[in-house]
Amino acid sequence: MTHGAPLPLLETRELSVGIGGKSVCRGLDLRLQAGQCLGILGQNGVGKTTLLHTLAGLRPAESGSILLRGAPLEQLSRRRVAQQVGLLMQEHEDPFPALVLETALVGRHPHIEFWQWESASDIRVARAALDAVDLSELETRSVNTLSGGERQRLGLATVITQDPDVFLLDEPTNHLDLQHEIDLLRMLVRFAREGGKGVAMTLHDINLAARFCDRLLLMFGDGETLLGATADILTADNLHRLFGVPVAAVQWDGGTVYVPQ
Amino acid sequence: MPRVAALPFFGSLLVLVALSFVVALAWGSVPLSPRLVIATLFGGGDEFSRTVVLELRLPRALAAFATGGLLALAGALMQVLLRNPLADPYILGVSGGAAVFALGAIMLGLGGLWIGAGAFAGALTSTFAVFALAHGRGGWTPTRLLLTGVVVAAGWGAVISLMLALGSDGSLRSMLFWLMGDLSHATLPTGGLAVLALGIALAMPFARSLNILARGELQAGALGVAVRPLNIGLYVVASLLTASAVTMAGAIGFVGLVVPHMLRLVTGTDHRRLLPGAVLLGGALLITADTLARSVLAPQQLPVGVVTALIGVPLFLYLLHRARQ
Repeated sequence: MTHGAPLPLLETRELSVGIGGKSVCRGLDLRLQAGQCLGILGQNGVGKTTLLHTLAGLRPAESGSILLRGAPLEQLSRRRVAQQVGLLMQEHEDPFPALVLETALVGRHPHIEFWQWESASDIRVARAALDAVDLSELETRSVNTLSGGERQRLGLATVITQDPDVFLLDEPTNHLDLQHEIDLLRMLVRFAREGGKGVAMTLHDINLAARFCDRLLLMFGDGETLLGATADILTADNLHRLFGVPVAAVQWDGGTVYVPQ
Repeated sequence: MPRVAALPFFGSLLVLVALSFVVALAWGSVPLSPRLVIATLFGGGDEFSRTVVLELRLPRALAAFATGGLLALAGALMQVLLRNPLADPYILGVSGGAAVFALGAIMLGLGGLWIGAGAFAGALTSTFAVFALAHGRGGWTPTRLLLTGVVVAAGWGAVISLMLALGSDGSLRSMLFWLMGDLSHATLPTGGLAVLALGIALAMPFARSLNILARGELQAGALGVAVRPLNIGLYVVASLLTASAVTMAGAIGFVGLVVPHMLRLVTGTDHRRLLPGAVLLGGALLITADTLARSVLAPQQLPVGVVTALIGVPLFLYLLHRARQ
């Protein structure tokens, strides 16, 4: 086995997921290799979040298996999974608001033994993550004083501090202004290409997905999905079926822009 | 918001505990000098001071410390379990169950030991009832647990009112004292101190996990915390701590709600500091309150629960006001 393709960071085999009697995906075979950026598109309520939570091991699948570097996820401890998979959630709860740096630092939890405290190097990792999302100056602020976009970037800094192989990101561009949105997606692509990470994220903007993702998973509802290279999969037919409105592909400045009609 | 470093934080709490002990042992119907109290504690003193300090005042001060520590620790754990800053040790009905059984023992004219046993049995009954009722199909959420606990507590409250209405004039006064919290019958709290030590020993290894659980179950799961066992462990430990506090001293309010918040205002939300800090501050607060309760209107004794609120309310409002600036 010296010349085979490297083991995917994350792989699903015949994965079926359902929630509340509704099917999210059926028989999904997905491979996320190091260096890849996967976009997940679909209407509200088709189960994008449910799928991400399942891939993170936070809820059981109906059938099929999820492998992390070839190891079945359900056989790994929660801690081992958290060392390899990071999840950015849509909602952040702060009933007891901590400081910005403390909040980023919780990302180190799976890497620290239970009797240890965060070391100077853990704090360096958290500071670098805050710097990466442009929050360095707010380090000593309480999280309940942040704006929606700042809180979202802090959530991302926590996942970066966690330093997983696989980034599962649920609408990472939520609440972000244009500049931070583009900066952040560029950074994620760089994590994948240069850092050997795998990124899977749900997005609502077809143009961002077309520009930053090499592969796309379209979720049509009722368990129907379509997976493929971005260029192959962004057809007018697929997009119409996906969003329920016709989407025109307009050639502009040497690229393609998708506009709902 | 300024954060106090670990050494001055724990240092000043330990000084506070030591001071409250010395004052509690020195102050009373027969005042003793602090020097004599300390000498007596270390084997000196005369026969009289040994009787007053070691046999009369020390057991009661230790009982106050244990009760305050138990309640403050239980409150901090309950607030994480329910992800709710308004949670206190009694919110899930533990004290209500204890009160109904304890008041029952008082109405039947039974003695102190039976009242304590009744309180403990009632606390455990209520704990199991809420756990089973909230669980339902597919496990509980904090909201479901909270609602079940609050409703069960309201049910106990109605039974308590009924018992007060039906109680004889003779037993009413001791029933009211029990409900407000009272340490005047306290004995050496070996069991309470053991439960307190056990509780902090069980909770501390999970203190960092609690920091993450406080940010929600999904976040905790995503960061590698085994959420379900931790939730159940929190529930069991917090209930046990509350049950043994209520058994010793009745339903003393306020300490369990406010002490964790006072500490958060001073030192932040890290449970590795919050939990031991809560034990120390809760203990010191209750010793001080009990010293005042037995000496302000001496020989008349006040219910200590009334005094904790009288000290705690302005102290808490001050800290809250300071934190906003």
